[in-house]
Amino acid sequence: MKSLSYTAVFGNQLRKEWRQLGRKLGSAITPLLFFAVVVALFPLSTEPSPARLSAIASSVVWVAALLAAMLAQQTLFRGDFDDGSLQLMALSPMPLWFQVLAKQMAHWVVSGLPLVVLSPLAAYSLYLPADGYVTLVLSLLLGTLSLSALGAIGAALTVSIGQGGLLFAVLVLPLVVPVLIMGTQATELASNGGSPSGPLNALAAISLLSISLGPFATAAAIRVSLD
Amino acid sequence: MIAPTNVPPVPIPYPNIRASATALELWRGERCLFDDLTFESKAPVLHVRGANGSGKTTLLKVLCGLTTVERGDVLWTRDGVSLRSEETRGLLAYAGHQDALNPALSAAENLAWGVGLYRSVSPDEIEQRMRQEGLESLLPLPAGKLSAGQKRRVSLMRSVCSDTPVWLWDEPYANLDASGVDWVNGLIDAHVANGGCLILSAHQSPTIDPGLVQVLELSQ
Repeated sequence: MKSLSYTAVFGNQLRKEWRQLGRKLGSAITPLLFFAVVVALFPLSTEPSPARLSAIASSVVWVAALLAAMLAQQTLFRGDFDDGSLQLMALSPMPLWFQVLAKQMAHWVVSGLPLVVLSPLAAYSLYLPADGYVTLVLSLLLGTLSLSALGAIGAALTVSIGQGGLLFAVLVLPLVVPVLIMGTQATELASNGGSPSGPLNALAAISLLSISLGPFATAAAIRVSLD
Repeated sequence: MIAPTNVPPVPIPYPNIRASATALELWRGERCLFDDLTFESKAPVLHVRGANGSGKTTLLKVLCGLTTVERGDVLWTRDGVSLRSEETRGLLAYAGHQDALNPALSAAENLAWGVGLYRSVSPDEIEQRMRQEGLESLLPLPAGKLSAGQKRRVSLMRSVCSDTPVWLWDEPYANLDASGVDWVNGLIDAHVANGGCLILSAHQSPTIDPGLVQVLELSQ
């Protein structure tokens, strides 16, 4: 009997996530559409002058990205819980936290990364100053990674509750506020010609902490939800 | 002369793995499911019986560690030596009420994922194992399009392909036609002949030699 390697388990989860994406493209792009629509609606609700829009560009892109990421994250374990796959994951010889990490990263590649890729376009439509782009993308890259780890905890805790949407928001939003503050601060500083390294470092620290410790909390929450 | 291909590998006998429980107590809200439930399985097949709602499913989940009990202990042994809980995890394959099949993925993809949680497996091997059971026609179909009986067969095949010594099967006969019931009985015979252990909850008895079966009756 060939034993199991960590890379094999990672590949296994990644393949499943990718295949699901291919079959259910509609639901997969909903968060991206949400992001694009929020960014597009903002100029309509305020005076659409470049000066005004560029002043709020970083906040709008960040808040829209955060909400879109939360939208994608909320149902992370829903399907696997409903069909019983989560029970199999919990019984696998591979530690559950590692499988959670693999699933979460695979899900980030299909939901968080597209937001990061789309963000310069969104920022361009809001006249973000040229100096801000690199920091915006970098901060969103770190931020969405952190959001996926924090969102997974909330998704695992609320998965056994039929309509856990509100509870999910109440649980997760307080945790993601620091990510939002650091992300917008960094982009703001860079747009105004300053050095964003302070908030960016803090954001990197938050991401590292949530990615390294989050899966353990998520795994524990899954076991509670399965009980 | 051409050498025969696709010869199934000679099975390696599984070690003797048995479950026992002492003084299990479990409440579901106001209702007491088990109160001081003690048993020790001595036969390769442990058949859990009881009326609807007597806690058969819950007992299986307790045995594989998905559900925690208020009081009491579950102990797994290999050749009489007790196992730590993390040692048992790769040894148990659970097929529950829920079929654990993602409706968007094909049966082959679902099996590759589910078996991949236990060991490295190639799609060819899964196809070969399914062909041995005459189920290869199900492989390319999306799991969402399978009938209840077909889903049941695929989810039982996941336990079979996992090559684990212990199967925990919750109502394996549910939704199966007469030939499906015979097929499940055949799987059980082969597994036990290979030294495997089976814990099943079912209303009907497996056709295996009754000397190899221990019955655990759950009361309300």
